[in-house]
Amino acid sequence: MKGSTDGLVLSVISNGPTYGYELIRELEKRSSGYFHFREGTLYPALHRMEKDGLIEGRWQALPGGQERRYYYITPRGAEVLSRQRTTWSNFSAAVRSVLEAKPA
Amino acid sequence: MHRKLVDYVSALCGGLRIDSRARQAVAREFRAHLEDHSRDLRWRGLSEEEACDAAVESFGNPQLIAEDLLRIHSKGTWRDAFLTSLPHLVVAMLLTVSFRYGAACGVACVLATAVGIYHTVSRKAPSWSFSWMGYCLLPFIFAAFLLLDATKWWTILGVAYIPCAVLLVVYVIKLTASRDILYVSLMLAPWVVILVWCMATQCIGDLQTGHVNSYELRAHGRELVGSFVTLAIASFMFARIPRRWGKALALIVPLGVVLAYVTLRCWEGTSLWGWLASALALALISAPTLREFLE
Repeated sequence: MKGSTDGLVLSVISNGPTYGYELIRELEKRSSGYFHFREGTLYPALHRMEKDGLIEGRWQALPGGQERRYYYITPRGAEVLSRQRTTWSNFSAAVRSVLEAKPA
Repeated sequence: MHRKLVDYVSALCGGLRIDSRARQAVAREFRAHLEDHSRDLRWRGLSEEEACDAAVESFGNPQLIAEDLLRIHSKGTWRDAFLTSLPHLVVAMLLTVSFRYGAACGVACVLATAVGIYHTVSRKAPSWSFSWMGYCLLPFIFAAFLLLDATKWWTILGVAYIPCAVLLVVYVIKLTASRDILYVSLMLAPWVVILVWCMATQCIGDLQTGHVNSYELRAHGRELVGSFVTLAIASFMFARIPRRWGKALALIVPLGVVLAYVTLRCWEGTSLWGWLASALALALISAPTLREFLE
């Protein structure tokens, strides 16, 4: 599950810098409500990935005075995401070919 | 910001024993998230109280989140681990290369003091700097020994100096403990090694006269270097291990081994009271970590 979380988070962040709350909403929206990350799961994952150099957090001030921490994907994160996409693509193709195989 | 949200963030960050700047950043980020979520819920028709309750409930158990974050932030990078072990390696290297103990201590003290000044001035206090701080305080301790010499006129200065040195050491230990009590053990670890070797080679008395006879030290040169290398490895492991009890064991077990080894090798060269004192020093350094086991 740890690897899946990283891939899902990296995939959303790769589309543009995102902050924690927006990330949870976006994951829920893209999975049509299937993935509902709790903050207690997401933030430790985000901090671990930042420590591993996969993403980078930067504070940004909004016009209303509020501040948010936006996460950006790093070149290393993009590399990991690319590898995870390939692995998942191969895995899902293999599973699909087994599950959908018609009896001879 | 609503009181419930403030209380929740305080409860979460109160148990987060990490660098104060990192802790403040976590608090800012979580406050922003809770505000976003509660605002969103209010737009959907919930009252302020209901929105705050729902936002807090969605976040989850603050203690569990703090534990997860603590584990992530406690695990130092390879760079942190290297810098944590570096002062011990420098001492071991200087002892190996020149075997001029005075010069070795001098260079190590200058390096440690430079890092200590950086540590104090920048107020960043990276986790690796605590192993340097232990060496940084040593000149103040040695100066007290020099001033204790009863045959010199400057002994009178010791009367004024020693309380100041003790206050300084207590102040630094207190500051370090406020950050994380485990760092007190890391900071004071070289003291145990130095104390044990000073007693084993009977050079504590020589310090008072200012004429350290290095013959005894030279006779145990390899073991002395080995002690600092062991300390460097222990500090490296301390920085890398994410769990707190693992950090405690990584530091205390090798120190205990060094103490036992020196005791067995040099038993005849020192008194029983000396060994009791060094065992007490180890016990004091272990005390903060014992709390982790009791918890």
